Amino acid sequence: MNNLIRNSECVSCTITDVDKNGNAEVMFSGFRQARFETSVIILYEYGGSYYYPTTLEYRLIDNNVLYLIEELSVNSMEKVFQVLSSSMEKEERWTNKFVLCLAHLNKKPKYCHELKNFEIGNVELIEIYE
Amino acid sequence: MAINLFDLAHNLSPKQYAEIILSSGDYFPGFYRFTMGTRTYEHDQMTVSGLIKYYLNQQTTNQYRNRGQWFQKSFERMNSLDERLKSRSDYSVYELLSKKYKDWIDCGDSYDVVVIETHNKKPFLMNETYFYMGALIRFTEENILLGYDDYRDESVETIPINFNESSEIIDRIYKENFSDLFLPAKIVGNINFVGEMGELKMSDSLFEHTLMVDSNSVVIASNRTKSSELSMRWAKDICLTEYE
Repeated sequence: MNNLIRNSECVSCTITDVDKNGNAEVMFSGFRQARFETSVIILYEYGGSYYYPTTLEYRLIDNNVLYLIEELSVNSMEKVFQVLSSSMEKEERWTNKFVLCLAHLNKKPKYCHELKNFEIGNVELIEIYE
Repeated sequence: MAINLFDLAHNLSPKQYAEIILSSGDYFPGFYRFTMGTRTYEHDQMTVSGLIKYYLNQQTTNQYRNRGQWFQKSFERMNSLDERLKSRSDYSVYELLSKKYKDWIDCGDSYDVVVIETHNKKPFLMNETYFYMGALIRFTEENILLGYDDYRDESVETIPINFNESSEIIDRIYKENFSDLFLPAKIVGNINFVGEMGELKMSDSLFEHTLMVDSNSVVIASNRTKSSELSMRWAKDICLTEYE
């Protein structure tokens, strides 16, 4: 977990892959240099509800997911990915692939924001189970 | 490097959580957040002196602004933003964002108003509220208060990290640039709409605070109806119209 804690250098994080054991590969780069072919967005699922980790809202470069979902009411991950892909293309002149990792949990996660009236839609998906 | 997502879900200590939150300070904060450099005055945007004048006038006349008057500036900004959004390659995304953005600006009944002291750099202090990466954060003797609201004296989250521990984390991460990334800020009031008319409410102490801040400080609003449960609800601003 300490890998998300930085020293004095300003660097952002992008998750580029997740294996079946839940190990997420994190890449570090300064803004504008953070161009990776794949960007993985994480959602937790517990008891039929979806949760987004607050830590990642603050720490990932491809944020802020909660602004799109909660404030702008973009109510599916499929639409969130359309917006993120479009923004990446327009602002960064970079085309990448957004992938959702849905981590199914046995108990409610800590430090997360519950998403209400939210659906996944048609997205590239990695599902992992605790 | 790797992190384990199941550990992130269940095994994060309060100190690790605070450290990750405090690791996100960046001059270029990424998509959908303003950088510090863009938190500057725009023509016809509500200023500190306009806010004070409006509040005093409202208190003496009981006349309130309507929704269109409060948010005219935001809609003007939106129209110019519209041209930028049209340059997106995917027109359906433009349509989606355009409608959602307008709804976000004017669908609420309650809007909090923050004053961010962009020209008043302060060191790391106990019981001072800072604007940090789109959130308001306060360090008390016993806790870090994330999403702190000076108007209501409440926060979205309380992280049990005392001031000495906070100080150690801040010293480690922000040796030199703390005051660039943490700007003194307070929610000074709330605009409450009944129907189309919006009344600005302020406490006496926060009105006095507003009288004292640097006149170049930035005044913006957040749609409380939509986002009171989000700590990072000041990442994008809703501009209020200036009052002459």
